[in-house]
Amino acid sequence: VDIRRETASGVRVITPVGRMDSNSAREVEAMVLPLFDESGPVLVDFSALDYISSAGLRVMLLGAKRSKASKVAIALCGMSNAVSEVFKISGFAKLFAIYPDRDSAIRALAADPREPQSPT
Amino acid sequence: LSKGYPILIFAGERIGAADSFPPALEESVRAGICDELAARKARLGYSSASAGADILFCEELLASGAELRIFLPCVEEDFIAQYVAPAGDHWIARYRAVIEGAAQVEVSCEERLLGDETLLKFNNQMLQGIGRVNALRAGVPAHLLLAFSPGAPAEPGSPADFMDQWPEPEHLSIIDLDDLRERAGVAEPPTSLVSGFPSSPRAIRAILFADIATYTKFPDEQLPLLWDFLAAAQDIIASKTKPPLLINSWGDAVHAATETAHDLADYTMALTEVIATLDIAPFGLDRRPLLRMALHAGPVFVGIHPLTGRSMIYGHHVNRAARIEPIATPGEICASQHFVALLRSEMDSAQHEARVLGNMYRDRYDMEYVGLLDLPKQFGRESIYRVFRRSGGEVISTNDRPQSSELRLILSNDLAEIGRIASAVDSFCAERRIGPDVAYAVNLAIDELLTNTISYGYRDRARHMIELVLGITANRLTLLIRDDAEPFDPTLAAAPDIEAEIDDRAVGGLGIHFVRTMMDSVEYRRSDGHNEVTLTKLLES
Repeated sequence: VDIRRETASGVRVITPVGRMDSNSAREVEAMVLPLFDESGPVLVDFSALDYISSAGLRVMLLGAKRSKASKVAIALCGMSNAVSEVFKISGFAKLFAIYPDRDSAIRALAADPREPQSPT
Repeated sequence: LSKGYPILIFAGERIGAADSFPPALEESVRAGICDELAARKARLGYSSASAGADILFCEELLASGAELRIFLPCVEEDFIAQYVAPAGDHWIARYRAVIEGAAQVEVSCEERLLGDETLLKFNNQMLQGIGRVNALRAGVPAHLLLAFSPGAPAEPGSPADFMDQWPEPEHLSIIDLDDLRERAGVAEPPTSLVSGFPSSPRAIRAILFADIATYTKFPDEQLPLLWDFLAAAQDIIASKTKPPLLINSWGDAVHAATETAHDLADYTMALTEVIATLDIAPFGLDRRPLLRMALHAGPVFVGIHPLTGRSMIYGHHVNRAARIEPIATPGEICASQHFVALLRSEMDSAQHEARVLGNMYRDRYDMEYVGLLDLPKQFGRESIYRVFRRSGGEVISTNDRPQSSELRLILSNDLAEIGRIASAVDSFCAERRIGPDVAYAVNLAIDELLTNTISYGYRDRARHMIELVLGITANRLTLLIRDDAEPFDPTLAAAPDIEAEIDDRAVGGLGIHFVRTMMDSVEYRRSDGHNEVTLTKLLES
């Protein structure tokens, strides 16, 4: 998996490209989890992600746990229908602030970097 | 094996035979081999070890730090006398050095040479077949490197053997001795070689030994019924396949031989399938006979038995075949490394021919490595494989190519395989107009089950094979996953609490939940030491 990393309006944006499965989850984990040791909200942009399995969700859950402990906000955006379905049937959709696209996510995170409001 | 680097199979002209490899060309051939090794980055190579190009290849492969596996056609003493010593004594020392450096040295036929080209031809089939079988198992290409003289007439057992049956022209390189000869100003190649071989007393045969594993469980009074059943089975088998060249039996044991490995695979598969499916009730049998079957191949002596007047075969490989049968698993077709190598090289040759004629060809058989097993009666050890039918595999004309409704994939227990499987499933679904959401669901179910099995299912560190069959009918998609991992029933796994909040949420257990949610049914059975999970997904029409 390729992982792009950039910063916009003080929000650290991570964009995994391709597949997040048991092969690539470790790489994403190694990149995402240390972000919660520093301040500034984290956005994971799924718009370039074709596929996520339970191994990918596991990394997201670890991220959510770290976010809660360190009070560094995390939000997700840009999910395809299939990825969104996986978040729904796992019950994960309720655990995250999920935005339709990057712009709306960054606006919300920049406005309230600690506790982003879920758009739903 | 390093991922992605090809396995090299080498064959080359020898020094000391006629004039096919003038010693003056030694350094330019060596340079050609070095260039190829640098370009291919192979970590494993297969070769024989005749004086000349073979030994040059072995020396340079070892110098590159790669693993060398040598196959010799006959007992070593004869090999040295015939194929090494004529080039001069210093070649014998070089031969000993590469044998010392090789990771593996195998003799394709533990017999005397007897001036016999059959053994050379068979050894070439072993090199190609084993190299290709191992490359397919490792998921890397097999690359053929030849150092030979295209202008010289093809002697049986010479490197030219490979040219006519190599299935992948994109994985073939040639060091052209005619070309090197011209550039070095060495005399023209010979126009005819005098073959020193008389007609051979030996022929390459595929050999079957089988017996009824459950024979002693039949009470005496049921034995006549058993023979009736087998007679009815034989009628069906005879209508499906061509008969073996010879077949003999005594009691519950059967011995047969055919000219090709493919013929024997056809015959044995028909035998297995008919015996497994023919209804036993009309024959009054209480139980179905179960066969133990072992397939082997090699050069054997052929003749007529002086007492019976019937055809017979004998020699080292016949004895070896008989020793493999007792270790075969009843109900499965078990085969030696020699058999699968011969079958592989025959299927490759058929593929090459189909390509030349513009036909489609798919292999009819697959093989799965079982392990290195001890043979009884001090016959050493044998690499054993299981042979099974690959659905839809046969020669199909390109004009009316039917779309198969089944996809069968074999993968090893390596997480890196999952990406390849996902691509195959995606394109299979796309070609059959299955929507992306269904394809995603199917891929997710496959991924979760395979990840589980590969990560937690095996107690050893050995390589295992997992079989996956995806089938589509008008309104449903079915998926079978079969593995020999520890028993695991996904229908019994505890469901995760999907309502839990972040702090209470466990990190595992979601995968099986996805399988059960995304699929319309999940069935499990443990059969014959294997887990079999069958999933169905209904399709909207």
